[in-house]
Amino acid sequence: MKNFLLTLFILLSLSPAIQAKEISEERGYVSFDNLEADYGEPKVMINLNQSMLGFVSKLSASDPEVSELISKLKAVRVQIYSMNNDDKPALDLMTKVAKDIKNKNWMPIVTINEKKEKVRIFTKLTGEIMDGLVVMIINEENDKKEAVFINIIGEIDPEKINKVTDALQIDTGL
Amino acid sequence: MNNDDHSQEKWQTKLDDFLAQSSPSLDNKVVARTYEQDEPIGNQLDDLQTIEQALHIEEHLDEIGLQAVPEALQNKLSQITKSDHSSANDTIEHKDNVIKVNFNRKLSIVALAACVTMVGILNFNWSTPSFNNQQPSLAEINQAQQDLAIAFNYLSLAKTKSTSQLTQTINLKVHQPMMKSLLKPLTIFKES
Repeated sequence: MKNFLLTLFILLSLSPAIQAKEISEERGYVSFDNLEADYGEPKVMINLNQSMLGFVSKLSASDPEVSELISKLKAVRVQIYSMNNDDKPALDLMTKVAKDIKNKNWMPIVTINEKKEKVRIFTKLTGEIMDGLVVMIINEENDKKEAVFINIIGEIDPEKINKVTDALQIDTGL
Repeated sequence: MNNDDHSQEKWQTKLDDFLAQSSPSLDNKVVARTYEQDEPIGNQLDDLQTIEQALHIEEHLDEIGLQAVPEALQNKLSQITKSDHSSANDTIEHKDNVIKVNFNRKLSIVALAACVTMVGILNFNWSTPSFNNQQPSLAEINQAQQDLAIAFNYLSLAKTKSTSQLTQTINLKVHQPMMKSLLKPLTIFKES
């Protein structure tokens, strides 16, 4: 009976550690506030989790390099809003996120502050491995304004971004 | 040839006919490829075909039907059940003390198993995608691939914008003044 209770105690104390880690607890995760109240439903909303990325990686098995790159991703989150003339909410969100993640030791790698184009790119590094990427773009082109917020969680090599885009070979209409 | 052999042959013919007339679905092919890549056994092509065939048979088991158990095997199975009952009765009649000890031990094992199951159920994350959607369809995977392409297209866009801005800045701040400073002495030289 004593052994039984001891085993039960060990199982109960270890069980939280066995549970799957929530994506929001990952080092590369960044939370973006919802801008639906200002711009309506997002033009594009993407939330890909690790299991779905695993399947996509298997489908891309013909190119081992691309397949490996996708398999190392834990989540891909994208929110894109078509903006009206008021770009203040998007700019405020960009400033807020940039301030928050700088405090969490994210490294700013690109900052562009042009009149019609604002870009912020941050990375989270663990040693020499990049395990988080945040891209925020507020862009005006041909009277079309859009705000783009992207968060990639997992190991990513920026040099291979174009390779993945080419390998997926899908006409996204962009 | 007895009845058992005849029925076995009939079932095998039915199965062979079914496999010859139909081919595995696209979903089964994708699942088979996933299984095969996870745990390759031997020859890749053979494995893949075997897994595809197994999934295909499993999917259409209702149409094919199960093979009848041969009479001889059925008799043997009945004998095992009977002998189990008789040995259990012997134990109850002659070994009361032993049963009591075994019963306590068995009870604690059952209780432990029940607790482990409860802990597992309580800690199971019901919201995990792997539970809610264990096996996505091919259409869902294709949609995910398209979503990933959109995400990476925007990343490429950011990269292009950054590179172009960097080139412009270098051109404006470094390249042009440097060219001016190089051209000036050449102009003076030409005038003189």
